Parts: sequence; C-alpha cells; structure tokens
Amino acid sequence: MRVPLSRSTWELALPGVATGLGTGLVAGGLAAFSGQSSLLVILNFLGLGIPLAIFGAGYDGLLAAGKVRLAGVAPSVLYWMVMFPIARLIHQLTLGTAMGSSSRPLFPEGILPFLAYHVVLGFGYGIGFLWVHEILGGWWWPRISDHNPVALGYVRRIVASVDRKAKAPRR
Amino acid sequence: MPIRELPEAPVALHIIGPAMVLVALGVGLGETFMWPRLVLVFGPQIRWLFLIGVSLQAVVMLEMARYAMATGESIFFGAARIAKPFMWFFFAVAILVYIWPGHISLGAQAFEFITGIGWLGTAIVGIILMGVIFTLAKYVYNVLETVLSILIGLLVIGSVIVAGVLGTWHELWATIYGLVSFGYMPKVAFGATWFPIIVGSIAFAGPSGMQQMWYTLWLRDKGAGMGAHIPRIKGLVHLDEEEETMPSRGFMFDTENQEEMRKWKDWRRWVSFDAILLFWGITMLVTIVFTILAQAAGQINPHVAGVIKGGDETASISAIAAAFHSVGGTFLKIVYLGFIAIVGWKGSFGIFDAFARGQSDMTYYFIPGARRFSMSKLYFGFLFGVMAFGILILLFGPADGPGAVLDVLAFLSTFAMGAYCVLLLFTNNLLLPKKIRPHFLVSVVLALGAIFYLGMLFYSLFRFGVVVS
Repeated sequence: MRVPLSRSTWELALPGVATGLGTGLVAGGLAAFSGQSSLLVILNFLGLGIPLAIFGAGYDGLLAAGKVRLAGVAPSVLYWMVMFPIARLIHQLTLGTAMGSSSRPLFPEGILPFLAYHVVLGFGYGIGFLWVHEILGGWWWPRISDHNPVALGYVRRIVASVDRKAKAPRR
Repeated sequence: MPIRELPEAPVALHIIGPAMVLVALGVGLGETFMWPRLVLVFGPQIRWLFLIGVSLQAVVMLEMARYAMATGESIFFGAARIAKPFMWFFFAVAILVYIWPGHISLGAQAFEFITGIGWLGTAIVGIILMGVIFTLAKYVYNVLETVLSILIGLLVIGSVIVAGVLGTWHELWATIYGLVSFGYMPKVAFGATWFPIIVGSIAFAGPSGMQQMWYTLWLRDKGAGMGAHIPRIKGLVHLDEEEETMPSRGFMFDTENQEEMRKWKDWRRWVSFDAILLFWGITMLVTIVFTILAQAAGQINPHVAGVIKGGDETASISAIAAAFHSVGGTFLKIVYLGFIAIVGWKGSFGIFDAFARGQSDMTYYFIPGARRFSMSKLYFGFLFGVMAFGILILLFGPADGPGAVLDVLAFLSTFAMGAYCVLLLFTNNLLLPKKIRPHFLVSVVLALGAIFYLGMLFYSLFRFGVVVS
C-alpha cells in the first residue's frame, strides 16, 4: 500500500513515537532523580527519547507500507535489534559531547562490545515495544479510522481476527 | 467426548494471550532473586541448569496446551478422567500452597522502601484492589490479561533500559556463556547446604508449582482451540447478563477430517510460537537482565554480594537498591524497587485468579450439588475466600505460611511438578485420539521431567534430610 506523506501518515506514527518518548522519559528520570544538572536531564531524555521516537515512527511507517506484519513479534524484534543499539549509541554520544573529556569513558569496553550488548537488549526492547504499541494502537487507531484509511485497515484486521473466534459457537 | 467444530486459529495479534499471562506469573522470585543469587555464589556457569529447567517447562507448556486446546477441558478434568484421587491431590495442594499472600507482602515491602508507607496497609489495599478489578470486569480473563500485559511490558522495557545503562557486554557474555556450560557443578553444590537450594531454583525456573496447570484454564477462557465452546467466567457485576450454560464435559474435533487437522496444525503453530519466543525468550531475558543487575550491584558494593549470598530476600533487595542508589541516585533505586513491587503484586494478582479458577473448575464438575451455582459464582466464592484469608494472615500470621510447614509447602510444590509430568503422559497418550498425540520424543522428555523433579526431590530428602528450598 502506497502511503502519501500527509497528516494521515504522521498521525499513524503516534503509537511508535509515544513509546519512544516514554522510554526517553525513563532515561531522563534516571538523570533527574540522581541529582544531575538540568542540562543532563534534558540530554538524557532527548538523547534517547528522540532516536527511539524517530525509530518508533519508522516502525509505524513500515507497518503502514505493509512491510511489517501487524502485531508481528519477529519483525519488531529484528527491527529493534538493529535500531535499539543505534539509539543507545546516539544517546551515549550525546552525553559524551555534553560532558566533554572530563567524564568517564563513553565506551569502557569498546564500541563493538557496547553495540553487541545492545543488540541482545534490543530483543527485549522489541517485545516490550510491541506490547506497549499494541495497547496504544488499540486505543488510537479507532479514533482516527473515520478519516484515515490505513488506520481503518488496522481496525478491520483486528475486528476480523476477533470475529473469527467469535463466529465459533461458544457452547 | 461429543464432536464439535474446531475454530480457526488467530492469524495475528497474538502477542497478548495466555502465554503472556503465564510468563507474567512465572517471572517472579526465581528470576529476580534466586538465580542471580546462585550466579553470585557459583559463577555464571551454573546457569546451564536454568536453561534445562526453562526448556523443560516450555515442553510442559506445549503439552498442557495440547490437552486443553483439543478438548476445551482443564488439565484438572483430565486428571479426574485418569483417576479422581489424582485430581483431588491437586485440589488439596492448591489450598495448602497457594493461599498464602507471600508475594504481595514482599512487593509491599519494596513499596515501603520507596515511599515509607507501611507495607501492611499497602498489601491489604493491594488485595482489595484486586477484588475490585475482578468484580467490575465484564470478563475476568480479559482484565487479567490487560493488567498483566501492561505490568510485564513496563517490566521488560524498564529493565532493558536500566540494564543498558548499568550492565556491560562482559557481564552479558559471561551470563550467556554460563547458559551453555553444560555439566558444570562445583563440589560444594552437592552439599547439604546448596543442593536443595539448586533443586528448588531449577523447579522455580519459569512457572513453578501448579502454574502450568492453570495455563489450561486461561487457554479455555481465551477461546483457544476447543475452549471456544466453553463459556467464560464473568465479573461479578455482569453475572446477570445473558446466562451461559456450562457444558458437563469438554468436546473433541473430528481428527479424521483433513480440514479440521489443518486447523489443529495452525493452533499448534500458534502455541509453539508462544512457548518458544514469548515464554522461553522473555523468561530467559528477564533472568539475564536481573542477573546482570545483581552482578552490577555486587561490583558497586562487594558487601551486597555477601548479603545476597546469605539468602535473606528482603535484606538482599534492600542492599541491591542501596547499591543502585549510590551510582544512579534515588530514581534508579525507585525503578529497581518498583520492579520488585510489580513482581510481588502481579504475582498475587495472577495466583489468586488462578487459584480461584482451578478450584472452582474442580468444585463445579466434581463436588455433588455444586452445579446449582454457576462457575462464575464459584470462582468469586474462592476468590473472595482466598483474599479474605490473605488479609487475615497479613494481619495476624506469617505471610509465607507457618514456619513449621514451609518445608512441606516447598515439597508439595515441587512434587506437583513431577506429578503433572506423569499426568500429561497419561492424558495426552491415553485420552487424545492417536492423530494428535505427542511425538514419542516429547513423551520421553516428559518422563525425564518427572524423574528429574521427583528424583531430585527425594534424593535431597533422603540424602540430606532436607526438602528443596
């Protein structure tokens, strides 16, 4: 399905963007409550939240284009095994740039072990992302389905999936 | 059993389902405390035993699903079909082992570390909240699934971010390497001190005790396989709406019909995916993450490793939180304690539902005269009963159960796991049509599982005079 870049397309990205920004809030909160400066709190929030929000929007774009399956676990896991390490890399580099050379090394074990570590964590993030994304999408898509044909398609597929079981006699 | 049509398996949207409920219930103290503790004592190589334990549980899960999806019956009904005393044994074990509010009291203690609010009040409010949630639900299973989905989602995303900030590749690699260090067993692990703890930790890897048996009831309420023909349990305030009659037994589909067998294979694919990726994968991931966190805490403050090795759960949780506080400030401490509070609350939330579900199922079908009540009413009878008992115990007694019988409870919990392996061998090989029986090798794995759980349990008892712990 070809999707034009319009309001209809961008509003589809809300579940992915919200999940990414929510994760950024965790990182920002970590910094805020550990007594770090306001600058570092903002950098922690934005440094992780923005890349994850952009990649979350990217996931929704792939979903709208039919490149990944709705609620598919494997696609989400594979996607985030690539994107999560990149997001964390950007996060670390952002902090490193802000803190300058006085801080501890950004990658104490080297950049490759850092990336490898986050590829494995990306597996978990992919599943957690999908959980939250499904819950947010289930709330959001019906609200925009009156003017957004892609969202309407999602809703129809969800309803069809439920209907298949509902059609079965329950006694 | 009467023949009915097998519904189509769902093609998508299946990440949130009974497997996720089982994962949410199974990820508990074994993953967040017992295994990190063993890793600190024996090193990451000991984790190969965890791999064996969880993999065995994945096979058990698939076989539980085979019976439930093929018949729409719970495994307790299957036990009664083999021999009624078999079922009554599980009925009694559930009452003895699962009425204690230990999970929520530990979670409330973690909450007290965060807020300073006394744990007793929090735990009681937590139990009342569960009663309100289940009572107001249209269908009890749906709300259980939603609440546990949100909590386990938060747990997975949050723990991944914290592990990303605190952990290192070296710790991860050591943990993963440990998973395949087959045969590693230091001499001290065979001693009276550690052997029962190791056996207990293997039994508590993933879902422990009767949790796998309750999975068959969640599958039924989800409408998986022939469960679609069985009415669901409704919330108390919706009981008067459109009364559904509970059938007196399960159903079977026509295994000679090729179209029905095609649908059966779709259902098996659906549940295999759940067992391998969701159940096995998430259980592994959460344990790896919490092991990394415990190792990181031990490196931040070597005193923490000593406290964890000592085995006092509450002291260990407090020590780990203090270590995280020293490097990550208040928020990191709050996040960690928040995880433990979630693990505790959701543990009791899931167990109270499951307990009431299992007991009402057995009561409805096998206690004379019980059918004058609906299954939903019996469910709420058991649910409110276990909640009231939980509150009384929180107020006046030991939350984990009386100290004198703790060993008996641990024994029964592990014994039940050996017993359900034997039960599955009987139900799935004797009660199901030949075409949908398990493969010979699967039966061998179940037999080995029974030998493993029961053998280690009795070896520990006779060799050391100690049951698992």
